[in-house]
Amino acid sequence: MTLLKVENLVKHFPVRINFVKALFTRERKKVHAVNGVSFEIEEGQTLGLVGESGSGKTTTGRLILKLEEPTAGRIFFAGKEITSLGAEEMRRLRREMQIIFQDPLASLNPYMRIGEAVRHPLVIHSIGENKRRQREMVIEMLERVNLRPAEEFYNRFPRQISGGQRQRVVIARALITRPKFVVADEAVAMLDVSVRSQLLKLMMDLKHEFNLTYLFITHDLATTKYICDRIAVMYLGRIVEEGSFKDIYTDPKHPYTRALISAVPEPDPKAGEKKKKLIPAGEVPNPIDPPSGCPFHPRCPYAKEVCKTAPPKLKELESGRRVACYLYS
Amino acid sequence: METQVEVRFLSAGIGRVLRKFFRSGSGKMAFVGAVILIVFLLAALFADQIAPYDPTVRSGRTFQPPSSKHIFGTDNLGRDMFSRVLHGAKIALLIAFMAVLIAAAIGIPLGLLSGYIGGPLDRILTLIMDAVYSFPGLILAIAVAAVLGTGVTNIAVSIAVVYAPTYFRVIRNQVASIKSELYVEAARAIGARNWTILFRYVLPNVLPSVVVVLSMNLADAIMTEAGLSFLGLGIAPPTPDWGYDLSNGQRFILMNDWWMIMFPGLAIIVLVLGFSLFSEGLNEYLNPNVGERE
Amino acid sequence: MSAGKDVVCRMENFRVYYMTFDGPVKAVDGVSMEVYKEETVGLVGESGCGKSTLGSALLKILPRTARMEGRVYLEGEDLIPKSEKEMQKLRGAKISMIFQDPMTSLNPIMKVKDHFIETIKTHKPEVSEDQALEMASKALAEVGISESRLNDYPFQFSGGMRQRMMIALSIVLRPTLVIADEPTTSLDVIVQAQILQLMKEIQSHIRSSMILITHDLGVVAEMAHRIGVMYAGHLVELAPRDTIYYKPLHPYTQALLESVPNTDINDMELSYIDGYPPSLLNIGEGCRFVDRCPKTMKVCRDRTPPDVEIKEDHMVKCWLYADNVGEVERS
Repeated sequence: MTLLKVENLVKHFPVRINFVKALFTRERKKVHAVNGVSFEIEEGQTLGLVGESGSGKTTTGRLILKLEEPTAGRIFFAGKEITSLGAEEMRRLRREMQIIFQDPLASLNPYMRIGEAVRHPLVIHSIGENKRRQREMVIEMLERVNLRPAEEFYNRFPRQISGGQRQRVVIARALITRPKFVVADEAVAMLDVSVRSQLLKLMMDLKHEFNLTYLFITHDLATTKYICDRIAVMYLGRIVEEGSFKDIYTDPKHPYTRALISAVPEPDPKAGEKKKKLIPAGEVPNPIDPPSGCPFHPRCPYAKEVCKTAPPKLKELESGRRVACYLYS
Repeated sequence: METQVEVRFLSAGIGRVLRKFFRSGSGKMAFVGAVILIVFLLAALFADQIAPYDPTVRSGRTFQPPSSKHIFGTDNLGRDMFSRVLHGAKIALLIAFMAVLIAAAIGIPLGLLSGYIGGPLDRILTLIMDAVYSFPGLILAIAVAAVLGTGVTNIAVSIAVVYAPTYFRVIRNQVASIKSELYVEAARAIGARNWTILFRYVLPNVLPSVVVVLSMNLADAIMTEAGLSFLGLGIAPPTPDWGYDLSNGQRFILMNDWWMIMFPGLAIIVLVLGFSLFSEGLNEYLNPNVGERE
Repeated sequence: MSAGKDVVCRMENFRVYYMTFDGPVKAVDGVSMEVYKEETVGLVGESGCGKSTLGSALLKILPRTARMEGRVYLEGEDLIPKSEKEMQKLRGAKISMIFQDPMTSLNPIMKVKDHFIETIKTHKPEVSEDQALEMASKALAEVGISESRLNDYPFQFSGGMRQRMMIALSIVLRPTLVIADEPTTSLDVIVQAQILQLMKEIQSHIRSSMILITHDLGVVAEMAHRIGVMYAGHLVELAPRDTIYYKPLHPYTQALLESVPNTDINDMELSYIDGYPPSLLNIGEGCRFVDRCPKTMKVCRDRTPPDVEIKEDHMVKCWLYADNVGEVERS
């Protein structure tokens, strides 16, 4: 069953310009953060959304949770369209859809004890008969994410624990209402290698235990392989390629995906020396002024005339394998 | 597994805080300030018991320089200056606290709403508050006091009008920046209502700066109150009041009666200094982002 | 690859402690190592292991609360007793630094060319402004920036260009030792690959030595000749690159390498190290990995392991490899 479906999602942010400039120009510039993104996630699956900074992957995650209003497009959750949902209905739905942010310290209120932070969703959604029952549920959850002894962690403040422990708190807070769907926005990116793997393992275990569906947003291709069933690669607000994680790893089609994979430094010198490097020149263009046509064409080694005309459509090559590139049409 | 687990007792926690407090320079500052404040507070509370004479009636000869009988001397009506300074502390602190509380009661909620809701409401409120703020404090207080007339409450209100915009501005700006913090967004993501976010996520994070502004404002309020009384817009005589005594004493300055202005003046200076030291130390303690490594 | 054996920098029992009210934070504790001419030494470790402190300590640009002890020789000169004035003469000329975020280390209101002129003039007052500009445009050309950008301000550069400029600035005077502290951490992966490539070229071109500080085991695999692994202030293992990756001896190095994700899809095992690094505040004797180590012995808790020389260029700080531990103490 499809749990989440996104159709042609668009988000433009107005660009702030100074007062004097505003007097003299009529044109209002916009950041094209997300430019027509469509995908589906099956229940119980994990979709990895991979891209560099400015690719629009984070904005996509925020749009799905309606933390940001989309400029255009439609979002379906569990078969129901939620794009036009009112504030109160959306608020109630948040019990089912959660997010884990990148920076655990910033996403916890510094003046709220850990236990209270995890209990708060229960209070908001009136889960658990009384405070004592809620407390029990929190303790249970803290223990589940390996914050032991939970009683002791309950009364600590976020500053008093380590980065990895904080992210465990954030995960506990996100999962305490037993959501169906979780957006993990660079959830392990800020953590150290050894702790990062701990957290990845925890997220995988919790996925099976709570039957979760993840949207796993990351810039780091290497972490996707453990947790993602499918991967969508984003570049300048568009999905350029989508496929099973195996397809993307072993047979990347889009020139950008190939570049991305080849650029990952291998923690294995011999493998690294064997790997072919296909590093395009230049950097990601400014999303205020994206290139015409295919967004990757100025850096693409295979760029043809047609690439400058219009952005290529995301085409299904075979079942579950989509590429947006003129090389494949 | 966990390496930093330690049991915390309340007393140990307090001890830790105190230790940190005293070891830093700001701690000493705050400590000196606190001692001054406590002395004045005690003087105000027990003025009736400590004062040797009734401050409003004649207790000896006029224009007496300090002596063992009248340690601060007497004024032009033969009233004991020491008793007047003691009782003056009561009035000064009472008005200052009232004024600051009224100002905070107006400024803080408006600042919270303005910063959190934003948009046209924010613009209008900011405009009004900025307009009030742009008046020189004492002049504004004089104008309001002239309309309202004398009396403790009226004076407190006229001073509060001057300081309400300070709270508003501090709170509004803080809220506006906290609003974009990730933990506020996280609160939205777990489905918190706006009121919940405002009171459980935003307010606790602005309170430390409120405490600092509060104690700084007290110093200002003391001076403004003294200024009003000096100009005859304060408490009606014969109630003892430092500002009034100062203006009363300066009429006789040519007669070399220095004690009549020195002691009320000194009282104002020391009390203001006490508040300033305390608030400055508090500020550094509550916002310790300078020079500390994690 | 053929690094000579001339020693450029030598640290002997180097310690950096941050003094706090509650006691010293032993950020770097007893590090001894050498950096040879024209080689790159990678210094890897997790946050808080002391690798960045070590890098900054070599330039003596630490906060005032830091105390440095031991010996640090740069081309035979001990840096520890040197005054701030003497250090200023060395910084930029003999030893220079590439930071993670160039924006915070560049003055935003100074043009690119002024940064160069200032650096050059400080060390070579005899150079005229024109000559300095020429040196600057040459250095910029080496990193792939056209000299027309000399008149721009740093904020007009993209992240990758800014890092290129930072590199140009750090090599304009041809230092003998470049310290690169997480030079690509804030960059996207494709730009990172560009910068790493550039750093390799530049280094072989100007023939300097480099200490590359990073948390990324992929980056050091590509860049370093030798690798030092740091954990909680200790240098726990130091060996040539391939030895570290294929024959690591220290339990921490082994566990760290196993927990790093790679892009090989046949290797789907995700292992991790349980627990967290210890607090370095007032930390005493003993191995610092002891609580997370699968091979902990009694001696590990009581005494800090010695730097054991396995081979000529393979050091490991671990009791497992020390011969002088009695069987009784091991159990």
